[in-house]
Amino acid sequence: MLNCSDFLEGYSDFRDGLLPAARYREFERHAETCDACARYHRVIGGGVEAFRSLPDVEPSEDFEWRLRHRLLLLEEEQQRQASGSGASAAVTIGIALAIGASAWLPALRARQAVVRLPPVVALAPAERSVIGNPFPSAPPLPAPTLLLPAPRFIDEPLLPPVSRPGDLHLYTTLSTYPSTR
Amino acid sequence: MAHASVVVRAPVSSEPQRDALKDLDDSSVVAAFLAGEKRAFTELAERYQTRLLNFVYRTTGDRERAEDLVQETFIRVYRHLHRFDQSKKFSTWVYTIASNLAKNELRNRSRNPLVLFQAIKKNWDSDQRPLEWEDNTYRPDDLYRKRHLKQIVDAAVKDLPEHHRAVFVLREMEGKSYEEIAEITGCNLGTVKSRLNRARNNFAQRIAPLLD
Repeated sequence: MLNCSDFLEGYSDFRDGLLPAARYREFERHAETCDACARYHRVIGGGVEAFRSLPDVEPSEDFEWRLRHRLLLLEEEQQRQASGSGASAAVTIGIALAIGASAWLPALRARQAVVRLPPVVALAPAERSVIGNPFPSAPPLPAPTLLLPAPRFIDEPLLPPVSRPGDLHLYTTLSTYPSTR
Repeated sequence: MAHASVVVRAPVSSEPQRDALKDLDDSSVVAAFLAGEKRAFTELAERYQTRLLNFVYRTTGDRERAEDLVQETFIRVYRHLHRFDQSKKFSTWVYTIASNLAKNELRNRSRNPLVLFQAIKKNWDSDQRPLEWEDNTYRPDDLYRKRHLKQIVDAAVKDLPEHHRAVFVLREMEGKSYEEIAEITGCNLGTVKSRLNRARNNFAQRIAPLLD
């Protein structure tokens, strides 16, 4: 059995005819027997009727004129954009062609100079070395390897190096910044 | 300015074409406009300007602003009509644009923290309070009722929370289906039903003293 709370909850479906037939009849029966819900139904019906009978708000006299004017401005803007984009594309293509032509023009115009160079004489390498030592008097350099001890860094500014073989000297310079005083 | 002189009416010889457009349904008029018939847009504007103005006015409560928003609606329609999915209803699309503009307008108005707080509180109260109905035995006399009913009804609709008001106006004044209202307001069907039921309940509470 439908009570008043159910009636209020489902009222919109009832009013808009969205209930299945059997359920709709339950709502109708409830409205026939319950004065409060019957009045609710009447009040909403009457209120909506009054709402629909409110006078329409009419657009002002210059509404259409203003709209046409705005549409015209819009059309002009669209045309400007369309022609502007076409013109700018043409200008871009023109500039690209000019740059291309200016880059190729010297190559097309310049005659190639013919230069006579002295003959190149190559000597045969020494027999024992394939690569050859560029400093034959210096002792041979040790081959770099990861197995040797790591190089030591000695911070000895402006002193003559006293070094042992394998030392790596790091010279630092103390800069004197100009005084702000 | 050059613009002032170019607002011209269509020549008299085109009136039969205008009449022909009047006989077409919305989708055919839209198709005519997209095919290059500029007068078709005027036809669409004439069909919808008063309806949209009333909808936006009832939603925002501001007559002048409503007119501006309807103008903006038509500008957007003109700009984006080529993107409109012609398998859908034009009226739903145009109402959706107008509804969004009205919603933005109300949102901008509620930027004031106090207004925002009051709006949130009102919305929350309207959504959360149980549906109720009290059989008021007071009956006004006929003269009083006739004089004030329309005023009270107008005020009652304006006083609905904005998300209820839009749904109520779309259903009761524009006669939109639940599905259309859902599309226009961007809500699901359940929300539309619930808001409409609450809006009706709220409306009934306010106008009951004036109705038998």
